[in-house]
Amino acid sequence: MSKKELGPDIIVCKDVNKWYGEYHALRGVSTTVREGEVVVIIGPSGSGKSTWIRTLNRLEEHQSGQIIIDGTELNNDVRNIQEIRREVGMVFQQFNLFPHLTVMENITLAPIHVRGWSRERAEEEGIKQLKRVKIPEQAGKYPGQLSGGQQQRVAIARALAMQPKIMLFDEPTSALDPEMIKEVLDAMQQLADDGMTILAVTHEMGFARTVAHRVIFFDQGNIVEENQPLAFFENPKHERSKLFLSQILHH
Amino acid sequence: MTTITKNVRPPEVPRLDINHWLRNQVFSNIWYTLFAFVLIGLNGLVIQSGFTAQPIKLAFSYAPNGQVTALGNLILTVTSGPFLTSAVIILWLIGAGLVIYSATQHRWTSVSHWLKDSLFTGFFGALTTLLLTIIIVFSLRAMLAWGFFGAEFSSDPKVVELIRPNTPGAVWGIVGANLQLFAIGRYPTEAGWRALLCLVIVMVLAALSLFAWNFGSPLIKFRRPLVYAWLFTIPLTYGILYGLPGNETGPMMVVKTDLWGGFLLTVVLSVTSIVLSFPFGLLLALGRRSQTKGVPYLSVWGFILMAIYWLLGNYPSESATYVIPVIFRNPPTVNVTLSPFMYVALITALVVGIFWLVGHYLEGNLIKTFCTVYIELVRGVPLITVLFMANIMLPIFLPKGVEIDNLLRVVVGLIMFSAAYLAEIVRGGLQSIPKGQYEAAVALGLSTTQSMRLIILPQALRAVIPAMVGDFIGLFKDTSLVSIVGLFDLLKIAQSAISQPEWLGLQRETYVFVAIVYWVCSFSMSLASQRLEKNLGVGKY
Ligand SMILES: Nc1ncnc2c1ncn2[C@@H]1O[C@H](COP(=O)(O)OP(=O)(O)OP(=O)(O)O)[C@@H](O)[C@H]1O
Ligand SMILES: [Mg+2]
Repeated sequence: MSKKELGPDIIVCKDVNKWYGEYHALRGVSTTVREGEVVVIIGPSGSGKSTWIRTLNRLEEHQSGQIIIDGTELNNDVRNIQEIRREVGMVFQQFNLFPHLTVMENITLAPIHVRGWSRERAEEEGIKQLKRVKIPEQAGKYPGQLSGGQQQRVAIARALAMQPKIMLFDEPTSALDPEMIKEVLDAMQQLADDGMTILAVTHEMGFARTVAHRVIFFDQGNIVEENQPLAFFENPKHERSKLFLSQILHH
Repeated sequence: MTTITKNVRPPEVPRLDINHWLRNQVFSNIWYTLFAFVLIGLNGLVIQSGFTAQPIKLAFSYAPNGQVTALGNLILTVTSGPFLTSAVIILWLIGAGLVIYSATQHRWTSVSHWLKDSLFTGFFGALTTLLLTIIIVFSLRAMLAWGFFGAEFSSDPKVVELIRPNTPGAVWGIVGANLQLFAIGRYPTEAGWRALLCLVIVMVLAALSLFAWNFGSPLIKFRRPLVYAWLFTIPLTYGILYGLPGNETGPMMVVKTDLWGGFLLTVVLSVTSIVLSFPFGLLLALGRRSQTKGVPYLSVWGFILMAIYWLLGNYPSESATYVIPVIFRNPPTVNVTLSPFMYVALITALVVGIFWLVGHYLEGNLIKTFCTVYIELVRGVPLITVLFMANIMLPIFLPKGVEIDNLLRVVVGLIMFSAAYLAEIVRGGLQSIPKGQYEAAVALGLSTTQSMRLIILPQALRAVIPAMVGDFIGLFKDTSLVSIVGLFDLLKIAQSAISQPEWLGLQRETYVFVAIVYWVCSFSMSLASQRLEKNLGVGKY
């Protein structure tokens, strides 16, 4: 399984700090992600994985440090934020589909209103993305009429329809029944094969082993260890990663 | 072996065990037994009073000159107490018999099944059915006796004057003779068609809206134009009702708002305040949830412009001396003479200065504070107070020389009042939308405004349709309070109809009629809302 040549740096974090009131949630996170790279983020609960990934598209504000996405710095400038959000797709644990819109309307909403596409063009793209996640026949249904796995795949298609350069996944399979997890992971693997830059918080170690270029281990608001998956799983260097791995692997 | 016999056991032998049934239903508990006696006693009472009920009195048309016609005789027989009571009892016995028969035979037809499930659900159910049926039947008899069989329908005052002393029931003539008064009040007859036209416009718009907000309706793309049409209808109908300025007579004559009245006024008031309080309430709800810190610049400029406008109407034309009270001083006043220029400069400096201070030193959320204070203030006082305030206070805030007529002031009061309640309802809806919806929307690149308009509000408003329509129905009925500030709405017009000499003392007829009109309108709104809910809810879950 030859992983493709990686491109230039597309995400740069320098000493990112975030506080929730008094609580120091991110403690100087620094790392870079290259174009086409698949990064899996793991770590114990409450370690700040979600918080970090959500600062990358400004769902959470960071208070100090620098985040540069595809050459644009994330700061209080609303235009920068909008620009970055256009290029960064996100998939949530709870799907967050819009229940009052059909699957197709869910997907075409942002291309039409943000990119300014015509309805025809947006629907063409929508069908393309639905085919990519293998549910083109569900286009006319409402989210409430779909299974969890189908809903999550619609959420992926919805993010992809904006033709983002980066995809963020925050525990995309945690709310799913076991038999539906595979269909979502397959869709993610497909994306990785197509060369998408992916940052995924997930507990699916199989996915991390086979698809990721790099595993980032988070603890207490910072990156404790990062390495290629094989090296990380076979030979974790840090005490806390060893402990964490022993806990989840002997589960 | 035992298991097999169990599985193939034949259906139970149909048998109604009276002892078992009584023990189960009536004597299972001392309170049940007591209750059974009470029920039986009550039934006995109503049956007895049913059999001994007085015959109803017939109106002149069924019994001219005391001679009861054949039709009159039939009505007397059918509505007589013994006939009605025995009919109810016989029907009840037939029903009970049918259910008992079906129970013993274990054979249920759809009729007997329905009877068992709804009217004869057991010993107590059956007795309650009998009791309530007799009560309902005799209430209906009383209503018919008053409103129909004993009533006179002639609208001719001369005829009514003659037969009124011998009329046992209602004299509906007051409604028939005053229909125009009820409909448009003192609005001139020759311009009455304009009122009718406005009513038709509103009805057509309402019907179109009902269809356009139907799920999968071909009119869906007209939703936005319809919203604008509603907003445009308000000035349009006001224009139509007011007439062309300069015309003293003729079909387009000017009709001052103090002549608008009756149902017309009620509709004008409620449609205007419902349509306009909606956007206002929406803004208040959003404002109360706003996260903006400080003072938004747009509103600062808006207030400054308003202040300047106010000044232009109010500034003194020549130098004037103002007496300013100062405490702890003898004499306790100082006299200050200001030229017109100084006066304007001083007020402007004051307004700008306040905003500058607030903008720089008050980092709080001004929009939120304003909306919260507004909502809590308005919700804390009765509508009548708001109407009085609108009537008395509003002129004070206007520039000199600008006069607003009574109707408009009242409408402003109604809008302000309703918006505060609506805002809280909408806020409840907004609160019910999970945060993830907003996050997903902005993560896709939608702006805050777009997320609100496309994602949050459609879901939030849908969730609160019943509460909102409840508020609108309340507002519709509350328009009857405007009579207190001198407007002649339907209810007030009805009161004035009662005081006409030829119809003196016909309160009951008038109020029943007015109640029916209010009920029909409110119930239509309620039906429309149920339809809307059903249509918009499709596919949601
Ligand atoms: N809105 C918030 N306000 C205050 N504290 C918060 C908020 N969101 C998260 N936190 C805190 O920040 C820390 C990191 O939370 P985060 O959600 O990033 O953890 P996580 O690594 O994603 O955990 P999990 O695996 O359980 O999802 C936690 O201690 C949490 O309590
Ligand atoms: Mg998390």
